[in-house]
Amino acid sequence: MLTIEPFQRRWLLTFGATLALLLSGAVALSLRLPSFREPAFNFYAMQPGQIFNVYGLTRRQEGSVKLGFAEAYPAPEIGAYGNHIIAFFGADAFDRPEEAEYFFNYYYANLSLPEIRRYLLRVARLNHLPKKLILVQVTPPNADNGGAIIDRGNELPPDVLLSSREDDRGLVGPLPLMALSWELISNWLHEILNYNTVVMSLFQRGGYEERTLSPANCHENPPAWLSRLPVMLQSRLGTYGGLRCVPRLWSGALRRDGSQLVAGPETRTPLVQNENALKETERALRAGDEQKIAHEMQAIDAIGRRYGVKVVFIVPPVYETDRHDSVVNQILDRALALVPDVAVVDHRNLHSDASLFEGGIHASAQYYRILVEELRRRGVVNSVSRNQND
Amino acid sequence: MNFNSLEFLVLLLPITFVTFYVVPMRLRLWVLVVASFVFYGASGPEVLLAFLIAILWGYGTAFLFGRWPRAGAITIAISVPALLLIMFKYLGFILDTVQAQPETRDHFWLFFSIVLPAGISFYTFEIVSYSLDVADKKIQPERDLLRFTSFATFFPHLIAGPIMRYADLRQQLQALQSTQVLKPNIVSGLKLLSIGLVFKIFVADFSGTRVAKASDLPLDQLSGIDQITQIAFWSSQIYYDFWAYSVMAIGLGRLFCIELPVNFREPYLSRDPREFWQRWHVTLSYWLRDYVYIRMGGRESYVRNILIVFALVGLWHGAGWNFVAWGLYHALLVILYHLTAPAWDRLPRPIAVGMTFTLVSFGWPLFFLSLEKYAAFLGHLATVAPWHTSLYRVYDWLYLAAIGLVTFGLRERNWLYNETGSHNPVTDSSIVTAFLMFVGLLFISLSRTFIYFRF
Repeated sequence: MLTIEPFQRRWLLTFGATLALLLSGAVALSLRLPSFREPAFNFYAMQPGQIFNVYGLTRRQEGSVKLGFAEAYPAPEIGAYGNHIIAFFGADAFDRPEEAEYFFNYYYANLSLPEIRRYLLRVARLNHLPKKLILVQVTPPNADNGGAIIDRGNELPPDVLLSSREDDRGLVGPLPLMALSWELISNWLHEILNYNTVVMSLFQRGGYEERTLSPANCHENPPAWLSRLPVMLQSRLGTYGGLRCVPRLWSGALRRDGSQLVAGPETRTPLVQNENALKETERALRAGDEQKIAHEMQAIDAIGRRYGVKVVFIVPPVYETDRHDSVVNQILDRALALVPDVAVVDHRNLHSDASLFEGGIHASAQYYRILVEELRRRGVVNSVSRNQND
Repeated sequence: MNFNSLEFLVLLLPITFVTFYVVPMRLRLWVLVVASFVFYGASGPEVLLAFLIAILWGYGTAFLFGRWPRAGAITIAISVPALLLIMFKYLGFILDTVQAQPETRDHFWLFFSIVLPAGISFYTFEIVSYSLDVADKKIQPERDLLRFTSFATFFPHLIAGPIMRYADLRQQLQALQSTQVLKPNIVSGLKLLSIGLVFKIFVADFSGTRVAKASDLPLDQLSGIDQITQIAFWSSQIYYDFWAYSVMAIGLGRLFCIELPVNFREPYLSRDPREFWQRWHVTLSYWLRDYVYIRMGGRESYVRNILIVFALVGLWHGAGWNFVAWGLYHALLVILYHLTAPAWDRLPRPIAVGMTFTLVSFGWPLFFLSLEKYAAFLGHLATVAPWHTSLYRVYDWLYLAAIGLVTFGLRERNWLYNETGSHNPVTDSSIVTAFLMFVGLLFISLSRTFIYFRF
């Protein structure tokens, strides 16, 4: 029981009403946003050299562009699944520039292994898994201090979480169901109560057509006044004003094969060695997580075996000094030791060559050529190729 | 879990609040304990187990006093909490210092791989202070385990303080168990919660992003003014991170009729380094004064004791030589003031405050840089051309100026705590508070973990 003085009562009433009004507004605004999932964008219909501009999309929308594509269109022979870490993995690594019919990069926001498993279950139910090879990226532990490996980032839409529930054999009993409920609520909260969702719902412009363009044919110069403004304003005003030929707006743009366009000098971030300081206080993996990682890897591998598709896990390198003995790296080492039957390409040792990186934690196209060479050496790529040149 | 998470603010807090006031009074502490375990247990079961062991040990060993020899009972009482603290927080530092072989480290893999329990330094100090107060007969051992657990776990102060003494909370907890109708100061609680949240996101964390802007570059690309600006952002980031947590903690306490002490009393307004430590993290300063400094003889060996106490302050903040150096740096400042007090005290207030702020600010990089990097940082600052800036822009300085205006120009007793009975039309407005809460919730994804979270 509590008693509230009259002054407090009035204050609380106004406070509650104002907050409720603002929160309702946020919910209403979020409902205005197009999903970018249905109808799905068709990457196969893009011309080589074209890009899909994602600027001004929310994180969820950006992922939904690819999720919608994965749900609506059959996958090519090889599909890469992971998060932004593999953003620059394109078909050119296979000497098939932007050939989406051969390779597509389904990387999505900051997915971790449990989310990739659900994503794969979702597309498997639609019979849209890659035909021959699934490449699954494991976030290199030193990239995010163990983050985005098994922790969940509220990235997938709720219906994907729910639709994969029946296939999720680990989900029995009240505790996992409570965990799923918690995840769904948390997922919804993070989507609705997000400045990006609210801001974008007010200012977002451009559907599929407006967002697809060829930088090579872009002769429309942005107005001079725009280039004099701070970077953030340039981008916002450019999006709002429909100025498509502003290179800053191409940051994060997707190519035909799902990979990300390499940023021009205007937006390129400096190459930072040891970008994540691996602070002990921010470590995202702890003892026992090796079991969880191994469990997730086996579950993903089992999806591939169930549908007759080879699964290979890749651990890309991070630009760093020799930090292999970090606790998070050791936990992944232990996890990998628990799954000897799962195919893994672990390239964490390629950490010192700056040319292999587009940023401190993002491997470059040059690295992916090395990766594909390794896949060829293991006979994984040759065995799936229809092209003798491969 | 943390205060600046949607799960806490939108789910756990409202559910706990409603349940707390709906259940019969005998169940109120149960509600707080369960909520605190949910709040803490989100970090993992291992850390929760370590916490439970420390609580039960502190509770049980208190009954040894009066039955066992004092020294032995004290040793037993503080052994397990201290051991847990050492194993989880200082083991790596100790092994690094003695240059232990990798095989030796492998023996301790379990401790290395478990994430440092949140707030372990805080709850260890609280439990140790309880044991010592019982030993000194300042308080009686608590027989009610629920009440003792509530003291140790009460979620507003659990992660990052203030460091409470049992005597401070006992009566308040008893009141919750025995008062039928409570009169919480909800208005003040919500106000402090909203303001703390907004300052955490838009001052502390934003300052952190400006610091990172310079940290990502090699030193030779920074000018002197860049480095000075970076130090200013560090000062803002650290202070407002701690401050925001404390303000939110006080606000949360008020929602549940518990009054927590103010832990940061406008420390940047201090005239001298000694006053700084009477205003900065007040409950830690008093803890060390009462349980370490005075027990070592206090002013009898002033310089020695100050050096020891501040080395401990440094170690308490982090397991690393940079933290020890930071503590010793402050010890030197306090000793310097001790030796020059007559002259220092004659300085005009703005000069004394400015000097103290500058000296304190030059210590903050040690929170983030190793000793070698800090030396290189200072070396570069001493030699580089000062006025050419390559990094920060006018809006960075305008932003710093705005923070400076709030820090040095406004008095918290007026605009924040209403101690003078004043009513601020802006900060006391229900609409402004609701708006701040809404903005805080919207931008919470930009927020980072509190720096003190794993102290």
